[in-house]
Amino acid sequence: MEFEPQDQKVVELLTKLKGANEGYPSEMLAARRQAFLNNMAGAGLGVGTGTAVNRTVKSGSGSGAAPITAGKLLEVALLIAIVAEASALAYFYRDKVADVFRSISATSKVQEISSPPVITSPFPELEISTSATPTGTASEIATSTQVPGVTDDLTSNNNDAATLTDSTPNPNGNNGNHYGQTPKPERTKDNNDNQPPEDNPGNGNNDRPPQGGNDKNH
Amino acid sequence: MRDGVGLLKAAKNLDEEALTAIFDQFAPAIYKYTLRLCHDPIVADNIVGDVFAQLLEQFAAGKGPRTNLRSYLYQTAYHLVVDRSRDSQHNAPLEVAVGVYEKGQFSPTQTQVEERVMMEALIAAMNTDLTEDQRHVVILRFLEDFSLKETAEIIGKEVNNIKVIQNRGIAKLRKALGFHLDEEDK
Repeated sequence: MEFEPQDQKVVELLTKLKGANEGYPSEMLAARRQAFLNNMAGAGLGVGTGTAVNRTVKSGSGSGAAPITAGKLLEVALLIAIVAEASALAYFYRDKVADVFRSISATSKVQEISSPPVITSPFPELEISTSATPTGTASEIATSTQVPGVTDDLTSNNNDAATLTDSTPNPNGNNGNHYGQTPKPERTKDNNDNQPPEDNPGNGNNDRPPQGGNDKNH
Repeated sequence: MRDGVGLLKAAKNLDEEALTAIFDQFAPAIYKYTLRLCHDPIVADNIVGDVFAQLLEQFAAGKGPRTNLRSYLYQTAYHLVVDRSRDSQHNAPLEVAVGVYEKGQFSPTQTQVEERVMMEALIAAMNTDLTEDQRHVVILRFLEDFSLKETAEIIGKEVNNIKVIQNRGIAKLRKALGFHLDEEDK
């Protein structure tokens, strides 16, 4: 590279500086070299079994293909050993593993249940079906007004909902009707002669509404 | 004795002989280069250790230089020096460099007095007048004999950029040494 004459003198001075520096002090160099050798030994251990086997076999036989084969064989053997050990552990602890899977599946079920409930109110459908009622809009029906003919359904629905939501009442000694413990209904005296047979006292007139009672339609 | 390519190939396989040969071949040069930049023998020694530790790690990971091992080592040393100078803005006292010069191969008794004065002025100018990039380029180009391309690879800049940095650095040194050069011309 060409330089101007003035620059050339600077470059010459610089080249003279090449040897001006001290060399590596021998003690320092020896210590650094030893540290490097130690690092090398550490790195050799961490490189991997394949490389180590390569080196060992290489130093022993000197052939090129043998170290690769031995290394691969050892790798395959190690892989098989790992798989066998894992399967044995899985067999011994199969109960725990099953529990873990069960807990995982149970957790997922809980998550499904605990998902935010979709509010499906029956009112809009009812409003649509009873839109022919003369009073007001559907929203008014849904809020407060009791529409004849509709309120029964609504109240029944509400009652159903209430019964569903209420907890089971205290039986107070009455466990309900069970097989063989059903109390016999009291016999009623009827005016007509259609008396039920004695072996079937509850059948017959009980299905009819009582005469002279609430049946005002007739 | 293996050639460069064979040595590098063997070192990549973590061959102990090859790695030791690489250390013996390049450690003193890296030390000198680092000492020129940081002017502290202890720091230079530590950087040499770091350079070869990184080389070993790269080889163990299947990486590292493919062709130019020397450039690679100098590049690693350069980055370590730059990192250290960023961490601690440590400027070596001029006496260190001058003292090194006096204790070096140049014997003051065998050289002319004017030349010694110029050398001292040159070292002082390199330490004080040049920017960091200019100092790196000048050292790599003229003290370590790297080509423009290799210097560009080590510093991580374009070749044209290296040319510009080099010319500006030389111009600054010439300006700093102008008095002495003029005196010598007379």
